Amino acid sequence: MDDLLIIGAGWAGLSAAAFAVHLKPSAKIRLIAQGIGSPIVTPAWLSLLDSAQGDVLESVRDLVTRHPEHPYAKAGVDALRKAVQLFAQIGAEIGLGYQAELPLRNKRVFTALGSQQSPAVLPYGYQGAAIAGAQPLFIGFEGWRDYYPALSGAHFALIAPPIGARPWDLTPTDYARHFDQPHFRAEVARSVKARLNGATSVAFPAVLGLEGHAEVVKMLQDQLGVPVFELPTLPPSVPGTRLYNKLRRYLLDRRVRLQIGHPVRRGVLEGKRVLGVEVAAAGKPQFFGAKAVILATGNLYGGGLFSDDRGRVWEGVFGIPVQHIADRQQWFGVHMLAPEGHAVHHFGVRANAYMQPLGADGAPVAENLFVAGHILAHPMDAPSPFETAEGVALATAYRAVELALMQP
Amino acid sequence: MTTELRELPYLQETPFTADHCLKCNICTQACPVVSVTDLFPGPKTVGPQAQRFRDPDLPSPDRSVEYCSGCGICTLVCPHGVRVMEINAQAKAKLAEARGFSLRDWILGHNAWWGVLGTLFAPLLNRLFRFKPFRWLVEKTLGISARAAFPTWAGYTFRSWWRKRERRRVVPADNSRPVVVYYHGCSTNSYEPHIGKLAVQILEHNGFRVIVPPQACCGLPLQSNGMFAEARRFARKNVHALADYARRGIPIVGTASSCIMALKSDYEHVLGMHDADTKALASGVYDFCEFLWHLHQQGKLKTDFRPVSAFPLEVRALIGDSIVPYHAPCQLKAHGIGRPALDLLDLIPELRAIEMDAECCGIAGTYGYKAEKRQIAEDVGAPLFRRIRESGARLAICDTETCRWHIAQMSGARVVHPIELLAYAYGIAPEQPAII
Ligand code: SF4
Ligand code: SF4
Repeated sequence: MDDLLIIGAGWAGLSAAAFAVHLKPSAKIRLIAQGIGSPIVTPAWLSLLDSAQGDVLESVRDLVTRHPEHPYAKAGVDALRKAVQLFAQIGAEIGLGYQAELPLRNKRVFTALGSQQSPAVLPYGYQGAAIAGAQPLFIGFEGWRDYYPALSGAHFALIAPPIGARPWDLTPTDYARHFDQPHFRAEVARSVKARLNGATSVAFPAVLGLEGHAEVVKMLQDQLGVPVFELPTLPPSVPGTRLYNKLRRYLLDRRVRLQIGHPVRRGVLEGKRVLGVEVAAAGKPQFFGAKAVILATGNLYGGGLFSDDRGRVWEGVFGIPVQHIADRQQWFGVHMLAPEGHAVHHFGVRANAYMQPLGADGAPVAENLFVAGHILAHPMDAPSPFETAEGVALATAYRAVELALMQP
Repeated sequence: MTTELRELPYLQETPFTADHCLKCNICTQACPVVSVTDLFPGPKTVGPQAQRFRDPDLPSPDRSVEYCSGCGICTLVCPHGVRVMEINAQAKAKLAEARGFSLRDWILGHNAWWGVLGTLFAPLLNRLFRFKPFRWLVEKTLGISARAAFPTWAGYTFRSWWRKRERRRVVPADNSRPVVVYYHGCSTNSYEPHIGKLAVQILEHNGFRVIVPPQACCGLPLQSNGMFAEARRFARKNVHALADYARRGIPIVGTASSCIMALKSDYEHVLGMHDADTKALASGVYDFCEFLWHLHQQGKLKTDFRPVSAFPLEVRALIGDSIVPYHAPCQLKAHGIGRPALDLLDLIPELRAIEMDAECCGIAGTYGYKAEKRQIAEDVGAPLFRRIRESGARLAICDTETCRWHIAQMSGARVVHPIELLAYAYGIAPEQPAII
């Protein structure tokens, strides 16, 4: 039997596993997920509260006073701080250079469409944006449909990537693998240098290396003599893939069992205790027993919640009731990219202050079952869950792990 | 209403799972073949995307799918339940059907025959296959890579050992013991009978009566070379021979994770056999370590394991102070049973087995034996081989045979089945080979 079983390999599930090996290195931990999780479709920076001006943790404190049912309120601001710092520590250890010095302040980053965003914690590749100067040069690759630098800024250049015949469309990951090759990045540096023309910094789509990211950025900076930074691309996201790959190695080295590929089909309960879960494995269902379970399967987008054409919404493993709006007309607002998001993003399961999901009767579903991440309901009038995306995942994961590891 | 609603039956059949695809390319970035060659556009393109252009009654429009190794990683990483590898396998068979298959693929597909036939000429063949000019000739004429690691014929088969052992049995079999069927697979039968012997001895040590009924090759080599009709013939033989045991609740246990995966899943999801007997068999087969781990969870596994310091000297010398790298083969990952080998090895005092962070070793059954794919097979596994070398380990562990031979050849480490370490820990040595 495992000490802790985590369901889901998204931001919440993966960081829960990483936090657990830190908080209790001797614990037997297993993570089970249907497929690769959310980091790979995100820029891999940490949005804690993008609208915060000044100290982010102070603003989160205000937020939880206004919204006592917010996931941040359940986890506590303290858990957020500890989670972000521990994540950054691990992120630095695995070579991705995440930095989370207090007080946490939102940073300026550029997007591929020329707008700006303000996450609080950045991996190495985005950090140069803060010192981009007045005239960043945006670099794209000729013939690559995934990124066109003219959309990013006025100063741009298309360079011919030094690769031979390209029989298929390249993905961001393909470019990242090329950048891992010294001769490729040396060629790129040469072409870009010829186009610098007084640029104060150089922006690339986020493909600067997969394995040797830090090395690639450093080499380019040395060659070009100006700050170099990345812009998030279309998925699959290379910064997210780096994070996933390095975390995977980190967890396997620490003996965490990672099982990606088969979904948990149901939880097995006895009275008010979860005994374990049943996985839809080949041939027959497989049972995995655990002292505590963290459910981190995500919301409707993540695969933790399901819905149908009658407006029903349900949770797929334990059948936990979901806080939602029955009238499907009200699920979405008028503008797709509205900053306040859509009502549907707020749907989720309710939890108590011990991160235990609540059943229809308002009591915990089981004493050793915990929830983390975006499967948690957000109050309908709270800021868009995207504004607090990684923060909520990390804070709730941290708190859930703390509580789960206390299970006998 | 938790699970029933998520399993929409009409979208469960392999070709239709393509409809779940969001085109997110997560599978493409995880595909180990894509990462090393420009010859393959990747699982999304040749799988769910090309699937829309595949009319069941028309030849497949796309040949690049031949570069899919069948490792199945795409199916595992897809967050939306698309059976990409299975779609590819079916498309490859369609191609083979339309264009015929090469002599080389036919030979590789019929590995089951060569194993048994070769046993008769083992000393000669073993020498021949290590004779470089011969391998060069085979590569030039047939397209079987001269660099690929060939197994050695043991010179006797597991089955012959088993028959002899049964005949010599002095004490009659103890009928009060619970029965287990052992499924040995071709490789154990002809090349590595010691693994079969250890399997039998470990099961007996744990109080079981082992039986080895007639059985056929699982058909996987045929399946991965696109010869579905013949693969189905083998599959049906196994279903016919073994389903009844499964029905009676007698576990069928095998030491070759990939063969067992064929019985568990491929018969239905790749070969399209949906009958009740096939399903019964699928639910009654176990990977060897899976079975032992289940026993352990029920408190029924003997754990009289000796520490590494009590292992034979030559094994201790190989382990030294190092970690022992464990590679979970793709086919084992596809079982969805976790890492029972690691869980068991953790019970052996002083053994530190660590799972390597590698998706695939590259060989993928017969794939890495094909001359035009050999480089791909070596490049795919390169990170794994590097990590094993960097760890300083001289002993590594892996559950499937072709992977073991490939990893051993490419990393220089000795690579064993987890069962071999369990046997050392139990103090069990393989019974002496019977003379034919
Ligand atoms: S098959 Fe799955 S992983 Fe691949 S593109 Fe489609 S949805 Fe994404
Ligand atoms: S089965 Fe393996 S080689 Fe084939 S497409 Fe999938 S991941 Fe790639």
